[in-house]
Amino acid sequence: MSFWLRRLARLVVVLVCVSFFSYVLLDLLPGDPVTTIAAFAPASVREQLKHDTKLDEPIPAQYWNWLSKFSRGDLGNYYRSSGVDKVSTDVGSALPVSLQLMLYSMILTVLLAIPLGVFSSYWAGTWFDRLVNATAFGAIAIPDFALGLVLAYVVGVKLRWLPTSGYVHPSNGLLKHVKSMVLPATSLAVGQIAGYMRLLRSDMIATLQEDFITMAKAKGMPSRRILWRHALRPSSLTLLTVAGLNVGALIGGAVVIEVVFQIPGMGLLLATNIRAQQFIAVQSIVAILAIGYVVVNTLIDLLYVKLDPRVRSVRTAG
Amino acid sequence: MTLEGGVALSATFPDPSGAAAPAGLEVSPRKKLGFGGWFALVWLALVILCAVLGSILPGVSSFNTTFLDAASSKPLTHGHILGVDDNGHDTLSMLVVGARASLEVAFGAVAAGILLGGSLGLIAGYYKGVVDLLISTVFDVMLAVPALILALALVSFLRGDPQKTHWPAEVVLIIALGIVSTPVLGRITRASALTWSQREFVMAARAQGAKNFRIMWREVLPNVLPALFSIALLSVGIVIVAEGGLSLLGVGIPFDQKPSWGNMIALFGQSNLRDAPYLVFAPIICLFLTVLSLNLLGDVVRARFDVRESSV
Amino acid sequence: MATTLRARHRSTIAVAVLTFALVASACSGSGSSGNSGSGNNTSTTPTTAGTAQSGGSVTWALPAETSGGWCLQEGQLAISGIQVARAIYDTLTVPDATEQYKGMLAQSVTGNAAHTVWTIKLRPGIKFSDGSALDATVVKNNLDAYRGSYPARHPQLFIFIFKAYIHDVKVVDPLTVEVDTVPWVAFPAYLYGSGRFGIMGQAQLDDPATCSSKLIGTGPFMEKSWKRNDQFVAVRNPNYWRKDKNGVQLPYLDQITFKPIVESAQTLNGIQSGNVDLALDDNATNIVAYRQLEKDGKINLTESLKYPELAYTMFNVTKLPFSNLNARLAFAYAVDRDQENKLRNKDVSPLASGPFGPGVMGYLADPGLPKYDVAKAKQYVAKYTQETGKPLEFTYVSAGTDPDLLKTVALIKTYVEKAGLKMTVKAVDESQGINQALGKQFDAIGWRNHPGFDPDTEFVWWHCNNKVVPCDNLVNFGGFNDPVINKALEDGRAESDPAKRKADYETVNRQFAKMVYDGWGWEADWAIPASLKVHGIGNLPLPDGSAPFPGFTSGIDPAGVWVTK
Repeated sequence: MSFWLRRLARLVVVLVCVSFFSYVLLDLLPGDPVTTIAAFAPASVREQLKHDTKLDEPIPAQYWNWLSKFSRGDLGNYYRSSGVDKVSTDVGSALPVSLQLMLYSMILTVLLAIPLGVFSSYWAGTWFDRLVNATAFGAIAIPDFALGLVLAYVVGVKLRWLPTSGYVHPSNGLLKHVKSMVLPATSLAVGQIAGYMRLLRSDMIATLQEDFITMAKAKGMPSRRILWRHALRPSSLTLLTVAGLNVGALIGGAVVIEVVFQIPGMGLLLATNIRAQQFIAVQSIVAILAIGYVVVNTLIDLLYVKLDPRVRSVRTAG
Repeated sequence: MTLEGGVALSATFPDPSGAAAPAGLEVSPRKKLGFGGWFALVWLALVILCAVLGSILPGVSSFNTTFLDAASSKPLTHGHILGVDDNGHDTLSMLVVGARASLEVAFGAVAAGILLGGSLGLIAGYYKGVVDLLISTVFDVMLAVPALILALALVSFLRGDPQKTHWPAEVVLIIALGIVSTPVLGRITRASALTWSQREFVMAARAQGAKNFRIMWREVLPNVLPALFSIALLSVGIVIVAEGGLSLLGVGIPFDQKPSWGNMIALFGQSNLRDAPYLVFAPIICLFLTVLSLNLLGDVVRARFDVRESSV
Repeated sequence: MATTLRARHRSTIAVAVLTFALVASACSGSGSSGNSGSGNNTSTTPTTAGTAQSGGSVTWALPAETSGGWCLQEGQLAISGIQVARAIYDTLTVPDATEQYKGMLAQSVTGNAAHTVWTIKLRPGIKFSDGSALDATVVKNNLDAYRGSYPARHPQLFIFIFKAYIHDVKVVDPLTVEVDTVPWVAFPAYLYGSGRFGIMGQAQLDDPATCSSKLIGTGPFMEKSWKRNDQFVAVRNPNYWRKDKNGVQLPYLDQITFKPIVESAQTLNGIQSGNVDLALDDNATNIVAYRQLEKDGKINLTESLKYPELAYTMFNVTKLPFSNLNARLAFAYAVDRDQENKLRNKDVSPLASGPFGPGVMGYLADPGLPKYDVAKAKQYVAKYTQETGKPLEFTYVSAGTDPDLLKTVALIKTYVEKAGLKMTVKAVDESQGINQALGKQFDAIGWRNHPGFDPDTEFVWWHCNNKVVPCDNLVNFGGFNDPVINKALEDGRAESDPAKRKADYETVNRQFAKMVYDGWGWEADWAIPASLKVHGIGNLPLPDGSAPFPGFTSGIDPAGVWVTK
C-alpha cells in the first residue's frame, strides 16, 4: 500500500511543481504583464486583467488564485482590445483535435512498429533487418516537421493524393477527415515508429534466445506462433516503456506539426496566442499540456507496475 | 531503471526516440569509426568550417548581398548553384551563413546545459543523500514538462513583447534551450558520477583527505566525461532541430536579421513549397545530415566508452 | 494635470481600437488581383451557366478569423468579418455598379437640398431571424449605437466617425427614420460603411454578454454555430425578404461554412483539392496559380481591379525620423516599386498611384509621386543627417507574421539599406499591429486601407479638427495635420457639385504625393477562386434590379451564390 501512497505523493509534488512553473511563467515576462498583454485595451479590460490575476498580491496568493480557478476549468481569458473572452471555449474545441492527431499517429505507430520490430528480430542480421534498421536510424534523424514538409510536397503538391494542409472535422465527412489527417499523423509517427521498432527489436532478440523459446521450437511449435504468441508477450512491457518515453515527444511533435499542417489543435492555438501576446491563454495551454503529460506518464508507470510486480519491490526500495 | 533513464532522454524535443534507443544487444566492444563515422566527421567538420568562416568562403555572399535581378532563379541558373530566393538571396550562401546561427544556438544551449546540468549532476552523484534527492527532484520536475513545450514556454515568456525585448533572439533561445537540456545532461552525469564515486580510487582519494571539490574535479569528472559527451552530441542535434520547431512556432531567430536552417525551413516551407521546393529542401537536407552525423558519432562514442543508457 | 491627461489619452486610444473595418493587413501582405488578360472586371466567371438553382452548401475560405465577433458597433471587422456579416445582416444602403447608393433595408434614403436632413424609408414586412420586425425604432437604436448614443453599446471608434457629424436620429413613423447631419453629401455611403454597418436585432443590441457571438440579423443566412478558428456555419434564412428576378426565394444556398484559413498555401490547396468551394484570397502567389487553374479549365476565377484597397507603408510623422520630410523622401526614392511589385506582388495588380484607386473620385494616374532613384535617396539621407544631426534609422512594424508579408518587409529593408537608411523590423500579430498604430508606437508600419468607396469615407483617417501637430484624430494613425488636406476634405464632404468635389479630392491626392505621408505599394485587391460547380459570384442584382458594386473590398453578396448539382 505504501508503494501506491508514495506514487501518489510523488504525483502530487510533480503536479504542484509543474502547475507552479506554468504559473510563474507570467512573472518571467519582461515589463508589466498588463501592458504586454493588453497594451491598448480599454481601461475596463486592463482592470479586469489585473483583478483576474490578482497581480498586486504576493506570488503565493496569485498562484493559489490561479490554481483554484484552473482546477475548476476556468482557463482564464483573452484580454483583447475588443473585450474579454474565455480561453476555455477555444481549448474545448482544440483539445479533441490534438488528441485525434496523437491517437492516429499512435495507431500508425503500433500497426507498423510491431511487425517491423518482430520481423527484424526474427530475421536479425539479414538484409531485411539491416534495411529496416538503417531506415530507422535515418528516420530518427529527420525532424518531424521537416518530414511533414517533404510529405506535403511529394504527396500533396506533386502527386496530389492528399491535401497539403488543413483540417476537416469528422462531421464534415469522415473520408475527408481521414484524408486531412494522413500526412500530419504520418509525419508525427515516423520517428516514433523508428524508436518503438528499434527497442522492440533488441528486446525480442534477447527473448528469442531464452530457454522457453528454444523449448517451444524443440517441441516443433510453428515459428509464427512462437514469434507472435510467446516471444512478443514479454515485450509488452518494453512497448509500454517506449510509449511512456514517447508521449512527451508526441505532444511536442504534435504542437509543431499542427502549425505545419494548420490543424486547429492545441499547438496552433498556442502559436496563435504567442503571436497575439495573449499570455494568460499561453499559460493555461502550457499547463494543460504539461499536466496531461504528467498524468499520462503516471498512468503508464502504474500500468507498468501492475503488469510487472517485480518493479514494485525494486522501486519501493529505490 | 530503464524507464527512468528513458524518460530522461525522451523528454528531449520533438524526436528523441532515437536518442533514447539504447544500443541494446549490439553493444559491440570496440566499434570502429567505419564509413558512417568518417562521413559524420567530415560532414560536421564542413559544417563547422562554414559556420566559422561564413561569407569569407569563396562564392559565399553575406546575407546583405542581394541578387534582385536574379530573384527566384532555379538552381544552376544565373551562376547560382542552389538558386536564389524570391528576395534575391543566394540559397547556398544562406545555408553557409545559416549554419552559424544554428550552431551558435545549438552549441550555446548545450554548453549551458553541460555547465549547469553537468555540475548539478556531478554534485548529486558525488554527495548522494539529501543533495541528490533534491537535485534529482528538480530534474524530475523539469522533465515532467514535454521538452518542446518547456522550451516554447520559456522562449515566449522571456521574449515577451517582441517590440520591447532587449535580448537578441539567439540569447533567449540559448537560455531557454540550455535550461531544457539541463536535466537531460544532468541525469546522465549524475548516474555516471554515482558509479564512479564508489570506485576504489575515489575512496582512496577521500581516505587521503583530498577535498571534495578536488576529487570531483580530478577523479570523478574525467571519467564522467565520455557519457556526458555522447549525450551532449545527441543534444546538439536535438537543439538544432528544436530551433527549427520554434521558428515554425514563430519564436525563432527572425529571418530578416539572419538566416538559420530552422528559420529557412519555417519561412520557405510556409511560402515556397510549391514554387521553389529547393529552398525548403536544402536546409532540411543540411539539418538531416547534421543530426544523422551527430547521432552516428554519439553511437560510436557510446560504444567506445561502453556508456550504457540503462545506467542512467 | 499631466498625468490625468496621459491617462485619458491612453484610454481613448484603447477605446478606439475597438472597432472598424480597418484592415491593417500591412504594407502588402500580399497583393492581388487584376486580370492579366481581360482587364478589370468582376465576373470573368462564366456566370452563364444557366439559371440559378436553389439548395446545396459550400465551404468558403476566408483569410482570417474575426476573433472579436460580430457585435457590429464594437467588433473589429476586416474583410473576412465583413463577408460573414453580409451573410447575417443587411445594411440600409448598398452601392451599385457606379457606386450610387441604392436602398437595401431602406426603400429609399433621400436628403434635403442642403444634405443635412436624411429620410430613411424602410421596406415593410422584413423580419429578423428571431422573428422580431424591422421597424424604425430598431434602426434608430442601431444608428444611435453606432454614434455612441445608445446606452447598451460602446462603439468607441465610430464616435469619431459620427458623433460630431450626426446631430439627431428620430423615428418619424414605424417605417421612417430621420437623421439630422452636418452638410454631408456622401451620407448614404456611410449607411453602407464598407458593408459592415449592418442592422442588428433589438435583442442582440441589448445583449450585454453575448452580443459578439449570438447574432440576430435580417440577412440571407442565420448563424448556426461558430467554432472560433475553425468554422462559422450559416444556414439559410427561410424568411429572407428578397427574391431574385425570376421570383425565386433567396438565398440559393442552404448552408455556408466559412472557414478562416490563415495560411495562404492552404487556401490554394483547398481550392485544388475541392475541400474548399470558394475563397476570398489576396495572395499574389495564389492568384498566379488560380489564373493558371482557370486557364486549364479547373476552377472559376472572379477577379476585380476596380475600387481597390491600397497597400502601403505608413509613416509616423509625429516624431523623428519621419516627421522630417527628407526622411520620407529618402524612403520613397529608395524603394524600387516596380521591382517590388514584380517580386512580391508577382505583378498581379498595378502599383498604387496615391490614396485613391482607379474608379474612386480623386484618382490620378500620376499625382507626382517620387520615382525610384537611389542617388536622390542618398542625398535626402545626407540632408536629413545634416538637419537633425542623426543617422536615418527607423523601426518598421510588420502588422502580421504571414511569411509573404515578412518577405515584403524584408525586401523594403534591402532597398532602404542600399540607400543608407537603417531599418529594424518588428513583426507582430495583426491586432497588435493595429494597437501599435493607434498608440503611434512605430516609425513606419506596413498597412492596407482605403477600400475604394466614396472618398468622403476616408475623411476619418486623414482629417484633423485641431490646427497643430499632432492631429487630434487618433485614427489618423500617421498623425499628420495638413491644412490643405483638412480643408479639401471638409469642402468635399459638403460639396454637391460633382466636378468641384472631384477637384477637392484631387487636391488631397496631390498633397499626399507632395508631402509623402505614405510610401505607396500596390493596389491590393481580392480574387474569388471557386470550384466549377459554384456560380453567382458578385453578380446578384441589387433589390432595385441594378448591377452590383464591382469591387470586392467588402466581399460579395452571399445571397447570390449558387451551386450546380
